[in-house]
Amino acid sequence: MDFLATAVWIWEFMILQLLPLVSVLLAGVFMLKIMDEAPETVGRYAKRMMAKFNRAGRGKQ
Amino acid sequence: MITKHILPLFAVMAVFLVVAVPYTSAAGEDLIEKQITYSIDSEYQDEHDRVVNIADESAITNPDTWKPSPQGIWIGASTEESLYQFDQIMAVDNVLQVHSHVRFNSTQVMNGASTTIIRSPIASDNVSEMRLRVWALSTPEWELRYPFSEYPFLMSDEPLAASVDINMADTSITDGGDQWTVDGRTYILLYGPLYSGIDYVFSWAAIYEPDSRPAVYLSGQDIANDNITDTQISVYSKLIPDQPYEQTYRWSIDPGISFDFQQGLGNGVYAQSFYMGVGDSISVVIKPDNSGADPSYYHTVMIPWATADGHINAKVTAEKGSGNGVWTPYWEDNRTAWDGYILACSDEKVPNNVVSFIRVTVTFLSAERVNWICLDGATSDFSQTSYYNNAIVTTGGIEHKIQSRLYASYQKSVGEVFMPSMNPADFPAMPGPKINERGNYYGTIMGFLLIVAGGLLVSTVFLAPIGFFVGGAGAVMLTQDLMSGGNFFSQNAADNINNAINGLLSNPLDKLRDALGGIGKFIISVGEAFYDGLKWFVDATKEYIPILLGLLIVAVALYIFFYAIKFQLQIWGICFSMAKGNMEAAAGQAEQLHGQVSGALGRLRRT
Repeated sequence: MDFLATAVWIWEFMILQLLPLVSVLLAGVFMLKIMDEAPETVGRYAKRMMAKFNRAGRGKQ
Repeated sequence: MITKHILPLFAVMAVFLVVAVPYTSAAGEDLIEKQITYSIDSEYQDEHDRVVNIADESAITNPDTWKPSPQGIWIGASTEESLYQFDQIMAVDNVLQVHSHVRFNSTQVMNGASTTIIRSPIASDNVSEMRLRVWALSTPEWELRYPFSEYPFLMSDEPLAASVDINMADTSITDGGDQWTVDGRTYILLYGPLYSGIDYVFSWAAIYEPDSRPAVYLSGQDIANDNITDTQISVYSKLIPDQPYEQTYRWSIDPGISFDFQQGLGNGVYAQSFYMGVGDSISVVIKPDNSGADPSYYHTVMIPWATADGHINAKVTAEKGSGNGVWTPYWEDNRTAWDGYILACSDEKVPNNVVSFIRVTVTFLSAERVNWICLDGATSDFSQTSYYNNAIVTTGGIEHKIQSRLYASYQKSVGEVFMPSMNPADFPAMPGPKINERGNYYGTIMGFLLIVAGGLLVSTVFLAPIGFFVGGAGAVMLTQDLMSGGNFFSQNAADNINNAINGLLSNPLDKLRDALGGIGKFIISVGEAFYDGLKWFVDATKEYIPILLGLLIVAVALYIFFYAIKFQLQIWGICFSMAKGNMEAAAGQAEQLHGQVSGALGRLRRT
């Protein structure tokens, strides 16, 4: 068999078909993980901010 | 109860016995009859079959009736022809015309034939005169022009390919002219081109003795397998002065005409071969060129021919005539020996008066087989065909008519024309050939030796004057030798010197030359080896480049694939760290990714 044709087929399979698939899977997995973690982080951040504002308010009084 | 069922069964069985047994018996009798039919003794079977089996060697077929037997490619009806006799009894003034349309094909005669025997379909009994004209049709349609004339003609001036007046008194195959009448059939030996793929009409006209009935042979087969069966026959008999019997028939049947094609044909130009004995001649009528202002010209005629030795001895004469068959001498050439061709010229100027016809005759003074070069000149101009498009060969007092134009060129000239001599002694002087001989360089060697000797003599002081002279002579000899390419001494002189000194000079020089030749060959072989290596390398590269390219593609594909995934993982890792609120970790990962990307870019830039 023509080796060059085989190589071209490997190229098309890996780069044009497998790589987008893997990318979509990675995006899906990480977006779920991020969506899982983000609210907690934002909450933590909000709490800390609130605590900071409270301390600042008390200092002024 | 039982009888109710048994009785019909018996009835059926009875009917079966009554019907089936005689039927079987009758069938058996049929079978026996057939056996009888097949068992007829083969000894008698041919008696019931009148069809001639041409595979049977004992059967009489049409070619068997030929006298003599056909010698070449024979074409005609394979089965015997039928004789058809007309009712009309011919009066004193009578004529019978038979015209038939034939087209030969190339599988029969290839391009055509130049010598053909034709057998007439007209039964020769009581025929006093017969004439054949062969028309080469320009279109496949044809009509009779003068059906009741002794000269057969077609409408629309078709080209006349051949015209023969047949001597019915000639009954000898070998003696006499180019026709013979044997066993009631007339044969014509035709010297003339007959081509394949051309529509010909063979037109015969016969004049009968009074009180005889015309008869024609007819064939049930298609002559020449040309899918053409078109025959026209006309009968004319003038019994009562004002009421002649005139009848024309057109039949879809071929007459009993057959052909023996004996010699092949080129195209346009071909040769007719005749054995010309002493006194034999060939003559051709030339259409004269009566133009020209001078009162008189030399006349020349050039006729090519081919013989085994390229030489003939013949007298060339020209006669003039006005078309009434009377020829008067015009000019002749006193030369009689010809090499390769005839180029005859009148010995004196011929008065430039108007002449209707010129007949050139070549009469042989020694016997020779000659191939005459002929041109097919069939044309619809009847006078052309009649007068010029034929040549008459006379051998042993018998005239043979070639039905095409002899290749001849007739010219007038102001000066006398001479044939170039074929004798090498008469050839014009040519510069002597100069052989490019290899220089011997004896002058160089001897010149060098003389210089050395002169030097030695000078060094003695006592013999210095002689030394100068000897050295000077040597220098001159050396210079002259080099300037002449080593030919100061001719080859003859060099041989003499060599003989005198016993080959002393020749051997070292030859060895040097051979050695140099060897070195040259070595260099050439090195070059060839280098070239072969280069060729091998190119071939190998051509073979392996696709594989290398494939490997590169696979490697790049793998690299891109895994690096892209790794890159995405790192990006997502940064995002994930940011989502978790771990900004230091994200910054560290971003720094790491930047380092990797910039490193890769740097490598890329370096390459």
